[in-house]
Amino acid sequence: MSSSLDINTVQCGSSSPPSSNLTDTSCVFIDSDREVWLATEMCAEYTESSVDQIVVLNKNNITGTVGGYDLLAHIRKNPTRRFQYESKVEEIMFSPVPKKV
Amino acid sequence: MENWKHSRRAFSIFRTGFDSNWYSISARKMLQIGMKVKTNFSTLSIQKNKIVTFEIDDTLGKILDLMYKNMTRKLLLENSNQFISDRIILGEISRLLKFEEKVEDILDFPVGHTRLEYVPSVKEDLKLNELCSNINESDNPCLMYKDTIVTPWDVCLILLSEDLKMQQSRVDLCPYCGKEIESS
Repeated sequence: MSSSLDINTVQCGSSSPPSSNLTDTSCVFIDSDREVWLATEMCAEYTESSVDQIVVLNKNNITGTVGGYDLLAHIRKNPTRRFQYESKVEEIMFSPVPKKV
Repeated sequence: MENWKHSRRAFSIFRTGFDSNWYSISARKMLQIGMKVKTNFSTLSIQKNKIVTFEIDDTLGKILDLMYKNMTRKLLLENSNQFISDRIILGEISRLLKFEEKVEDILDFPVGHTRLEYVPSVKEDLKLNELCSNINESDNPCLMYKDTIVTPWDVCLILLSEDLKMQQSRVDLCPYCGKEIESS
């Protein structure tokens, strides 16, 4: 990229505390053994926001993410009410998580 | 953003080193970069995307087929400025689960019963920072410019573009009020 976009130019550098810009959006979590309907409800709230996807936890470890794409792809395959109430988030989540420690 | 481009998922999580919390970053957050930088970009040079449209008689199943076939998250109702998105569909499905117990096959539900949203539009040419501000301020993170719907993901692609040139400027803060003082 010819134009170097340094993340520090928007006050997100590692040398300064988190500001109100790039690093101020906390993750939203859901347990992997929760039902799909709950993820659907949460994604309806968060999709297209700064959060966009829900992070999936298994015993407090991050194991995946679930977003609108995952949910709707599975709804296309299983468009029933039963699927939403009986299937677990871990069955439809995307893994591995794109993360940087 | 390069990783997002390859994975087709504009979402990452990270730690800052200041605490043990996880933070998330998505395409919408990148609007804040676009709002801050001065570039040679103007909407005149924006690549025209094919707008995928649907009809009011379509079912949610048909809408989802169109979305996945065209790899897009937003569809415009033909001859209108109303759209449906994955977020609206998820909200509708949540509502169906709660209040429409007779609906068993979600995909058969007619989209005409769904509350669509309006896409804001601009006619004038905008710089990148103006474009990002407009999208960011909108309830729905998108903007219609001429015959193209511009989304935060399009802004990511603009920021990644080889043709994008930064315009040199320096932003200092006023020592008295803390507001930005622009000097070139």
